[in-house]
Amino acid sequence: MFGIKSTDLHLLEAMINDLFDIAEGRRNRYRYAKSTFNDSKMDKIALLINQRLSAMTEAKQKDMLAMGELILALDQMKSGVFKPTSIEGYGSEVSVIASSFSAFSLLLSQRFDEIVKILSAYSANDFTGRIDRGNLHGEMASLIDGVNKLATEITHMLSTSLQNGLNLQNEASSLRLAMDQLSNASNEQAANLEETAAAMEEMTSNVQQNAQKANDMARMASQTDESAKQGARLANRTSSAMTEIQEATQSINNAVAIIENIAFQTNILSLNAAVEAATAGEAGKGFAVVAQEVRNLANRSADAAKEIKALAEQAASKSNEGMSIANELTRGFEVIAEKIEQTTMLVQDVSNASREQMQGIGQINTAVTQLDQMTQENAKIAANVSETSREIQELSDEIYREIETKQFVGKSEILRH
Amino acid sequence: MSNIFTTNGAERILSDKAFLVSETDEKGIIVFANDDFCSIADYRVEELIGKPHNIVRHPDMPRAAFKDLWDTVKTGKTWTGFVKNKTSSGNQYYWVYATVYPIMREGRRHYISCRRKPTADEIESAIALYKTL
Ligand SMILES: Cc1cc2nc3c(=O)[nH]c(=O)nc-3n(C[C@H](O)[C@H](O)[C@H](O)COP(=O)(O)O)c2cc1C
Repeated sequence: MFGIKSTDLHLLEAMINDLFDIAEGRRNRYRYAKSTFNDSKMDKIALLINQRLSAMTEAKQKDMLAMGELILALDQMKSGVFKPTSIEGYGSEVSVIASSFSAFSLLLSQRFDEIVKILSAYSANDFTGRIDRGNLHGEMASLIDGVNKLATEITHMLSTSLQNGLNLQNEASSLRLAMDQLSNASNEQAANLEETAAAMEEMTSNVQQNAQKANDMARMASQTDESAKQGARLANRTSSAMTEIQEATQSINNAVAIIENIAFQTNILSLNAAVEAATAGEAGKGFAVVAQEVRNLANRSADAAKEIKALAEQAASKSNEGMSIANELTRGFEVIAEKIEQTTMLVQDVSNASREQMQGIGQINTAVTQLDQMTQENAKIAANVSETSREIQELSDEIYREIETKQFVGKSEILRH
Repeated sequence: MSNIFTTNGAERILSDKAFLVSETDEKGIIVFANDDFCSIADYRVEELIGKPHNIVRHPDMPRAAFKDLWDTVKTGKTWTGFVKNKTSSGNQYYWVYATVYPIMREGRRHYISCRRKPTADEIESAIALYKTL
C-alpha cells in the first residue's frame, strides 16, 4: 500500500491501537513516542501523533483530576457531608459534569446551611425564623416546607402553652389566695373554738362547783334541820322539866307550910310549957330550959322553912322564866325548820338547775369538739389545697419560665394581654 | 463491589470502571478514601482515615518511586506512575496507574491520588523498571 514497508505498517498499526486505547481509557501510557519509521516521510505522522497525544494526555489528566475531586465530593456527599465543591472544568464532558456538580453542591450546601442555621436557632429556642423556598421543587421544597411547618406547629404549641401557662398562673394564684384565706379563717376558727372550749371548761368547773356547793348546802341544811329538831326536842323537854320543877316547888311549898304550922304550934306549945315550968318553980327550972330550947328549934325551923319557901319561889319563878324561854326556843326552832325547808327547796332548785346546766354544757362541749374536729379537718384540707395550689403555681411558673426563654411569632401579643 | 476487581491467585485485577481515590494531608496521612479504594484494599474507610498512606505499601515497591512522587507533588506538579499495593491482610496485591496531585483544602495543601487499571504490558514494564531502581 503506497509502497509502505510492512515494518512501518506494523508500527503504524501499533501506534493507532495505543492511541485509541488511551482515548478510550483502557491504556495509560503511549509506548511509541520515541519510535521512528523506516520511511522518513512517515516520521511526520509520528510527530503529529506525539503532539496531538501530549495535548490529549494533558486534557485527560485534567479530566482525571476533576474526576478525582468529583468522586471524593460525591463520596463525601454519600456519607452526608454537603460542602460546596468548586471543580475546575477544562471544556471536556467531564468538565461539564464538574461545573454542573459544583453549582449543585454549592446550592445544596447553601440550602443545608440555611436549614441547619434555622434548626440551630430553633434548638436555641428561637422559632421566629423561616426558610425561603424560593423556586425550589420536589424533595428539597418538601424539606423546607416541612421545617417551616414544624416551626409553625411549634409556635402554635408554644403559644397555646404560654397562654395556658399564664391562665394557670392566674388561676393558681387566685386559688392560692382563696385557700390562704380559707386556711386563715379555719385557723382563726380553731383558735376561737379553743377559747370557747377553754371557757366551757371553766364554766363546767363553775357549774360543778355550784352543784357541789348546793350539795354541801343541802347536807348542811339537813344537818341544821336535824340540830333544830334536836333543839326543839330539848326545848320541849326543858319545858316539861320546868313544869315538873314547878310541881316540885308546889310540893315543897306545901311541905314548908306544914313545917311552918308545926313550928308555930311547937312554938306555942313550948311557950305553954315555959309558963307551966315557971309555975312549977325550981322543979320546973330544967324543964323551962328544955322548953326554951324547943322554942328555939321551932323558930329555927320556921326560919329555915321561910328560907326554903323563898328558895322554892325563886326556883318557881326561874322555872317559869325557863319555860317561857323554852317556849320561845320551840317557836324559834319552828321558824328555823321553816327556813331550812325553804333553803332546802332553794338548794334543790339550784342543784336541779346545775344538773340541767351540766347537761347543756355537755351538749355544747360535744358540739364544740365536733366543730373543732371539723375546723381542724377544714384547716388541714385548706393547707393541702394551698400546698397543691402552690405546687400548681410553681409548675405554671416553670412552664412560663420555660416558654419565656423561647422566641416565637405572636409571643409578645400573648404577653401583652 | 466485587465487580470492581477480579482475583487471579494473589493478584487482584481492577475492572475497567474501577476508580480508586484517596486524599491525604500535607504529610501523607489519609483523610478520605472512596468505596472502590476501600473494597480493593480490604479496609473500612474509618480504618484508613488518620493512617499514613504507606499502610498499603507493598515491599516490592522501590523507595525511589515514592521519592519521585513526593518530589513531584511537593513542587505543585502532577505525578503519574504505576504502583503495586498490598491488601490489608498482606496476602494479596493489586497494581494501579496513579495520578497524584496537590489541591488546596481550606487554606491547606492536600494531595489526591486517582488510580485506574493498568494494562498487563504496562505492569510488565513497571516491574522491569522497578527492578532497575
Ligand atoms: C495522595 C498520595 C497517595 C499515595 N498513595 C500511595 C499508595 O497507594 N501506595 C503506597 O505505597 N504509597 C502511596 N503514597 C506514598 C506514601 O505516602 C509513602 O511515601 C510510601 O508508601 C512510602 O512510605 P515509606 O517510605 O514510609 O515506607 C501516596 C502518597 C500520596 C501523597
